[in-house]
Amino acid sequence: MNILYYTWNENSAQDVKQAFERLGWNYTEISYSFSNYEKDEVFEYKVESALDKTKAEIMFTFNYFPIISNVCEKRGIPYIAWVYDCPHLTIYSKTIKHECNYLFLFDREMKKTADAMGAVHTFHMPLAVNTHRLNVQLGLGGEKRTDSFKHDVSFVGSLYENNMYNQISYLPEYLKGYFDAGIAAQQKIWGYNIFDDLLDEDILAQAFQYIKMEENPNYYFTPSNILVNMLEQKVTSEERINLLGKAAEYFKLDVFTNSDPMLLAKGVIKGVVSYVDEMPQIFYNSRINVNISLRSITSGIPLRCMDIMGAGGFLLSNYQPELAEFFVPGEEFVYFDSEEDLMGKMEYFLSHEKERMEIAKNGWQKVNNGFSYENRLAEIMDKVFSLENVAYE
Amino acid sequence: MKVRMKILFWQWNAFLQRGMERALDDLNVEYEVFFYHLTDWEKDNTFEELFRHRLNEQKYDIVLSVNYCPLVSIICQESGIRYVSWVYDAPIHIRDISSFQNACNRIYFFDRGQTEKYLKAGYSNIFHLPLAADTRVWQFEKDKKYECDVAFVGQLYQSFYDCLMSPLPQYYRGMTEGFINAQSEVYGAYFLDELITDDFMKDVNEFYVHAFADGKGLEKRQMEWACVCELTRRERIMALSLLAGRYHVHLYSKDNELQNGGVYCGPVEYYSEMPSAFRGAKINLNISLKAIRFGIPLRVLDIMSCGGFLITNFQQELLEYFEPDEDLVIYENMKDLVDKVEYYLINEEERKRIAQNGYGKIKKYFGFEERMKHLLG
Repeated sequence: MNILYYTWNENSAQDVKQAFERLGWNYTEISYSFSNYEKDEVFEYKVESALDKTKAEIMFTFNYFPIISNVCEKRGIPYIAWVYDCPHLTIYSKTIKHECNYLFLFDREMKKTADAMGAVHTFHMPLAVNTHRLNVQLGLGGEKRTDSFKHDVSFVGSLYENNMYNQISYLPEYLKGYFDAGIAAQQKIWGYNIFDDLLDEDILAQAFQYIKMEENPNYYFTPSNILVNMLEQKVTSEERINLLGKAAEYFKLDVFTNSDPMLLAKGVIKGVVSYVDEMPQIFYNSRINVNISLRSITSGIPLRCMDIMGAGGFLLSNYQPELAEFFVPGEEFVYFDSEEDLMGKMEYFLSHEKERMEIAKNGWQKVNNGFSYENRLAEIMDKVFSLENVAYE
Repeated sequence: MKVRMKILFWQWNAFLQRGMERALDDLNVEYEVFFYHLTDWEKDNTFEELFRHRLNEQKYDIVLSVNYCPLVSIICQESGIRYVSWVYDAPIHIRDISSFQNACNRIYFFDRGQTEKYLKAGYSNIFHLPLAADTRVWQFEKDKKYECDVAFVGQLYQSFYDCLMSPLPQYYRGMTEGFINAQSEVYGAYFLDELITDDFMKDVNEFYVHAFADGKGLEKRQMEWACVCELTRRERIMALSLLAGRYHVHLYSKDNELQNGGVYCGPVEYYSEMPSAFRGAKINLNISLKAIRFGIPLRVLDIMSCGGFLITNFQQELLEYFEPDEDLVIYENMKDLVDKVEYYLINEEERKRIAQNGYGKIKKYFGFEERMKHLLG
């Protein structure tokens, strides 16, 4: 098999390449920049030349690129896009209907969106971790781990203080109050997006007098989709700042982020860590690793959760339907459903070391038995080739 | 009942009392009634004096009441008498609930949501007990004037919401509107009380202290109540307007606000007229007050115990006793309500069968005798 892999310097690039190698699949890596998501003749020419040169039978990317889909549609080459961002606005592109597309989406709700948009080959596909790398890097899977930890509670991720909503220069007071109420209400509820209903025609009409949004003829999304996304990002930001702020009052918390250190108590924010080298060390060396999902992910398992469990870390996450579907709550990870619940569980698990380490170990085990890149990539190829009616070696 | 006991039953104008008294009689429990209508349940010197005097004068084992009264609890605590209350309000209209902690109390809430809320807040002696219905207290008259497709008996909560909004700047108006809409979108979870935070109250009270003559501002529970009423009002008016445009709808209420057709019939007397209104309607509607988290509202039991056919909004506790589409019908949203009304207006046999099943369930599981044994046991 010959795969042409277009990389955009995503975090998972090394991991997926190692997996291709372990699986014994031929791949060629390309990385060109483009000026426009839909049209860039130079870029298209380069991709086509690479296809010719490598005689690739398959195109592969993380996330979905309309411009690559255009090339593959023209050339009749199956295009595998494994989407791990949510929201991912390019799935609203009109190119989503192309026959060549094989969309693997980590979130069931996103799959529904792609289906509704008219995408033909869509699959739900949870994300993976490079278990080999992590096991070697951290020495996992051997003797019982030591019970010394460098951190009590850790969080790795952005606080999104520069979210789009915060960039809106002016909104009338009434709308500001209305949105603030929705932002507060959404923080009380997981697994259900209230903004779709909250933004009725009247509110939308008022809002668009002040928030200018241009409709893009190449995309199916509407200004209201964008406004909902903005508000969800704002909710995520508020929620992370609130929950972590509260946690810092009671526990020893370290937050690894490039966000403004002033957002949390002095000394809590530690600066950004590298994905491959440093982040796994944090997860492994923390008693508790907190995940607070982006609010736009209503169903799927965020990559961060996989990263934590793959590094042998104890995961305390907000409730996500698919997390509870693929992992056993209370045995392989623990979830919280309110601020009060989060504080209670932090307190409990900081003082119940044995139980906590057992759960972390179970989570790691589960990830190793079925969530490696090899497992997932084999599933992906199976699906593509069974539909393409071609055998692959 | 086996043990001899003597009960003092403090009464006010509460619906449940008639059924409770009948059950006490049937059970041969000795009780006396002390009737006093309180305007302020937390302060009334005359009541305190009379009630204290009564408890000193005679020996009672238990004081019983519908809804919880702090004054009664405080006096019972002094005298070391058990105070059993059965609450059918949601939310309760009491400013200061600190007397909940009195050891004399046994407080029974009809709504599991409230029971959980107060247990979680650290109060003990809080229990859950669904309401009851006595089919014998109803009086029926057959009169053409009650005949209609759909009947609704209840308040429309003529709103003081607008009055509360007018002193507020736009930002807080928008926010309150957002709270109300968020609550109305979220199905099966009540969280308005969490949305209205102390900080929010502090902010709005800066305006209310100047706006209201007493200069006191507004309590959080008053704000919550205003929002609950407004929310319930909007839902009731929406449902009635949708149905009144299509069918022959009767509204029995002190509030006359029907638009879009429909017949305003004024209020009905609880025992002598309401039962006939239920029987005269092909379909009876229940749209719960939003603050009832899980519990079965009294109106549901009223309708079913009169043999009326019921379509109601979802309440979690309904499913503990009733089978949807067998004993009653549950609507999930306004469109569903309209569809179900249309269907059941045509299917008379099914309607009759369901109403009869519902009536049977009420007789079996919602008798006052069992409830009184539970309360006094």
